[in-house]
Amino acid sequence: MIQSLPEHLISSRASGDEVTSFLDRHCFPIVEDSRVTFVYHGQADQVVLRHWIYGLPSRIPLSPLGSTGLWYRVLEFPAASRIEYKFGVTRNGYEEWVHDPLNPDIAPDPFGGNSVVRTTGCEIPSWTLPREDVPAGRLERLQIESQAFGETREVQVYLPARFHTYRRYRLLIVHDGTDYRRYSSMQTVLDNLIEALEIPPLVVAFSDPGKRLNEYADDPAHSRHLVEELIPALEAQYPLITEPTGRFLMGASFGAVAALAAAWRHPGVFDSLLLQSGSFAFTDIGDHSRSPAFDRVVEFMNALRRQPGDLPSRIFVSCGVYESLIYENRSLVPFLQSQGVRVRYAEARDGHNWENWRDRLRDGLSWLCPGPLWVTYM
Amino acid sequence: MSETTQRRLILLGPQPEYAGLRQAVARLQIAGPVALITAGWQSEELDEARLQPLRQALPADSVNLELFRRSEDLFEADPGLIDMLRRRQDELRILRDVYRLRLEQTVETATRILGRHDDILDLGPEQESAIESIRLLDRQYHARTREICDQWESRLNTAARPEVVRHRNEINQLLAGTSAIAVSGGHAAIILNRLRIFGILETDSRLPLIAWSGGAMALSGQVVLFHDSPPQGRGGAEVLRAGMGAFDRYLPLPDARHRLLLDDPVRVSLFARRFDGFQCVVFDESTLLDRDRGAWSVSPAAERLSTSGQLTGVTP
Repeated sequence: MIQSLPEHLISSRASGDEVTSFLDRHCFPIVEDSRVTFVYHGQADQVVLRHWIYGLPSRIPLSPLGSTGLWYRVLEFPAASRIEYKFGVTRNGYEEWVHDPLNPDIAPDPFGGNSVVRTTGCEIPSWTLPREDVPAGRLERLQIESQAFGETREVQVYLPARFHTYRRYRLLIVHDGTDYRRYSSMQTVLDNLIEALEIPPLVVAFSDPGKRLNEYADDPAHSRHLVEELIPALEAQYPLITEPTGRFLMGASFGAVAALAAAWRHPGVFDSLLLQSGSFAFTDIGDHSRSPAFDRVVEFMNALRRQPGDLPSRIFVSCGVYESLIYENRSLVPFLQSQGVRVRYAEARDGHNWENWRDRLRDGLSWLCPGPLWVTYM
Repeated sequence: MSETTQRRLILLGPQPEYAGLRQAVARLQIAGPVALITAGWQSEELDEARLQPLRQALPADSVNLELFRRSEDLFEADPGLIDMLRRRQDELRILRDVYRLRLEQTVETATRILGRHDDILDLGPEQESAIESIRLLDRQYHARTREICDQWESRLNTAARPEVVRHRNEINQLLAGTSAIAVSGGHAAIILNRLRIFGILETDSRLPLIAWSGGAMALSGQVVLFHDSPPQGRGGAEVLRAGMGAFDRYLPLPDARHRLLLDDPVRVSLFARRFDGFQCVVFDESTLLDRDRGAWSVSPAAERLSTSGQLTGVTP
């Protein structure tokens, strides 16, 4: 029984007006607690749901509803799930991936974004939204002549609202910095969390890679660039706390590998890491089954597990349970704990995407670097 | 210190509209300017947009003592002072980390034991013992922070440092023309440090004090920080260190209705029993506690945490 589709529509003899009325009266997909009805309206030879939920078939066909032009599929998801998806619409033998035309909720990403549906209990956190009454930090550009890479690298440096040169600030370095700003609203998140006293005012370096999959897969040049070039340049330019306890490093996916690798290669430089959906593939025996891009990651992770050395004292790890990387991230936690690292681990019913990473920032940043809320009573 | 020897004191909760502050000024029947301490606002201490509504609640010509700005100037002019304060802070930070580590387990254990009831056996003695373990930690931490601060103070000799003397003289001159001192809320530790450095309680004791939120906490006998659900995870309460000691009967809990889970009788009871030397007072916008010639009067709706886990009236 599909409660959200009226009987007369199911009977597939609905008129065009009835279909239009049905479409006008609902928000799509139709969410009823854990039940989600995906609906596509339009002429097509085939419509499939494309999503990135590990564990479900990657192509889930929608069923046509007679001659109504409607296609639908009802799926069950646990409460508080957030799902990114597209429709694969086949016409004349050609499949095109499109956003859900009936759903205005689009999560942007570097690949054109995805439609989003949330089941009951999954809300957009208010601290991710811009607020007029919250003073904004500002961005400055800093160019660094990199010997490690043999070229000039540019970072965008976030200075918090009410930045003063006579104060000393903690430093957060963000891998894939431009993407974090564009797709994870990171500037807005920083502004809001600082204003709410949940994190202290921070200086944040948004760093971008050149050849990402190479540099972020434990490239010694990348680690050297961070430690011997970027940090000294930032410390020369800004009033930063220069002790390791004042430095944080973060990243997502391969960016998380880059953060962990840099901290491992340069012990004692970073006190804390924030690792989101890290691509922490490893093997206990035999070869890995992921793409060749993971070869160096696996080498690194296996070396790390053999010789962990002196790791940062605190690491926040988060991952979506709908990601294939959930197992690697879950298994990282007890390993880190066994090395004496204080670990906080967060999971969400979400996938490998920028809004998942955005929505975990508050947990991670406020744990690694609590703001003065605890000691402030206005 | 006996409270009866202390100056007139009015304690308030958060002041978003400064209604309580207006009431306090009216109670004191002061017409002259008030000396303002907004160090808890830190770099926004002199932010006119923030100051304007506050000034409107005070008599004309009220003067900001600019304690935060003065401390910044002082640290620049006396690098030896800031260096020693930072080293003291490093020691206090280590001590706090260890205190938190011990506290985490002890509070969790006590919470679980307090939440347990058994028809066969009265667990009262075990519950009391579990709470006493927390009190012991608090007392040790309080004593150790005081010891460290005293040791550093003997080296710092704050009151004799020329730049400090200069600022204290300026402050005393400013106070000479005022009728009261008002201490705003904000960062409780910063307020406490600035009040100490500039010897505010050593000034003319005829001047009444009005303090709200973080300012009231800084003036108390013991500063206790609290939040049951902070964003960084596990919450609770912890001793910061000794306050200025202007009063010791009450433990001010500003904004407690937001910061504490007051509908959880186990947590409320644990808090009240842990700090049983004080009345743990929920400071709302309308809360007003007034000490006049040693006698306290309390706004009728003021509430405190009770050992039974409920809220109850405050005893003057």
